[in-house]
Amino acid sequence: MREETANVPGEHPSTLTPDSPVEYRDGPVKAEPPTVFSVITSAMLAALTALKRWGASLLILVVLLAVWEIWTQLAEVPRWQLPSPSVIASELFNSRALLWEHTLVTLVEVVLGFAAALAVGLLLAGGIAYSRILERAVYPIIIASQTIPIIAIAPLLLIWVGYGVTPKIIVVALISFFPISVNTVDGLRSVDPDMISMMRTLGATRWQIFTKVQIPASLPQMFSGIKIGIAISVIGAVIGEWVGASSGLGYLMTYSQPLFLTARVFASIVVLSAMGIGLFVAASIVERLMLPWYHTEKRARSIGRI
Amino acid sequence: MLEDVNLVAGAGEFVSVIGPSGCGKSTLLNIIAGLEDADAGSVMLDGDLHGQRLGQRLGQIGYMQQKDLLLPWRSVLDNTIMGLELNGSSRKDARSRALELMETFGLKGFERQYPFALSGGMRQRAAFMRTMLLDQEVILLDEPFGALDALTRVQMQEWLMELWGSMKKTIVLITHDVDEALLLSDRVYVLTARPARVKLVLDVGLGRPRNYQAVTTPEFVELKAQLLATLYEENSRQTMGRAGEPAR
Repeated sequence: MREETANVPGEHPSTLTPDSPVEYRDGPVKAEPPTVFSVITSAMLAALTALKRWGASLLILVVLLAVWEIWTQLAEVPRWQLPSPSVIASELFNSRALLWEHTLVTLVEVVLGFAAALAVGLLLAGGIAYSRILERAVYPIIIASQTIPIIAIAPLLLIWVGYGVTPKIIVVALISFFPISVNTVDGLRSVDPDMISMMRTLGATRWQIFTKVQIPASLPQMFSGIKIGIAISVIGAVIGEWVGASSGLGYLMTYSQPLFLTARVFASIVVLSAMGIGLFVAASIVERLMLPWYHTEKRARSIGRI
Repeated sequence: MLEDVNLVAGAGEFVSVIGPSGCGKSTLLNIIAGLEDADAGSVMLDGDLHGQRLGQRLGQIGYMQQKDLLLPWRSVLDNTIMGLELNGSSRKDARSRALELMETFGLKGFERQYPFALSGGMRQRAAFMRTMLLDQEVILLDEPFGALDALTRVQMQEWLMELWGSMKKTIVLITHDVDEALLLSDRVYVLTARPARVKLVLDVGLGRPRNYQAVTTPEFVELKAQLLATLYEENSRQTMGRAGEPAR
């Protein structure tokens, strides 16, 4: 616990967070119009920070690609067996129209499936955390359902709902609702019991405790679930397309592979993984916007300000 | 846990409860607040026996625990208005009422901050303000300054005395700090170890308003000696009792 000076007017917030207004730092900030020079320096600074943050993993990636490139060239590995990174890159460029067309299909499946997973997952989590009966009735079934391999259900879905976009959406939803609901349930339950007592002494009803304490308290964990769910939803779409489809990146892979268009298979993989990363980053951005308190607090703690 | 505890706090009185740790002081407050049920006995509010059913007194008695229990996702301002919000006030009205009191609670300028940016004492005052905004007649305080450093604690005690003097609430304070109990209270109850009984009721006849210098006056020292003697006797009885128990 830090030293405390009670009632001192103008007490300085010694735990200034990095997000606090700048005027606290060095007195009032004069608003100066940005010059070309200042724009360039701030861009360089941003690039440097990014390099510091991502530099190590970037380096590993570059080394791996270089080894792959050199090895395929030196050992004269045939392209249909293992294309080199440069071949894959040129395939990405040459087939961009084709890849784009199929990417859109997969993206729609992922987004719709994930939206369904989010709705179902959150409703289930809320019900399970709020009602003991629902918890006993539904929670074991949800957990048991995860032992059924999705890949075994996917072909059955074709029989039940046909070859359209629907079975893919269902597979995506089935695969990504689980981490969302389980994490959210944990978050809803993790509230400090003293906090619930406090709310009760203020006269809160059960529902008020749920909406004003449990739900906001669960958001960080809910977002963990969402980030996992959104990353694996891409896998769901590919599985859905593998068992029977006429478009989408998963279809493009199963179509290209028997024709030994291996570079195209790899190009599809690159696009799929870019899609997964993009969706994950999008979820992280939404998280940061929705939980400003959580991230400033986390950062303040990690800097050792608390 | 509690055996025979009879506690009276008149309107506008400041009463403290002191006793060995683990004797059930917090249970006593939980029962008064309506969070827990007593196996026997009753709690009268305004000489009224209504509201004996579990939970019926909830929301009618202010209760502040040792932890500040501020919600980390709410600004200081929005934390303090929680009680009003739960009672159906609009956020706008509740906020304007809270803003008027920010100065009194030493939180002016920090309304928009998140709780983690505040010091321990400020967080405690914010929690106290949340309790006080509901304007209940009776306020229970469970070791509110227990987690603060010594200097801050003294400042908070003087601040609380001043606030109580102007608000005239009935306060029941639980503490294990003898100075704190004597300095703040009109009356101090000393409890025995488990099962708790009232061992001593001490009327603190010191004049008001008091300040921290009072702790060095002869009257204060005399009362303190009496309290400490009772506590020491109780403590040694408890330890000896434990030493005499067969090993499990």
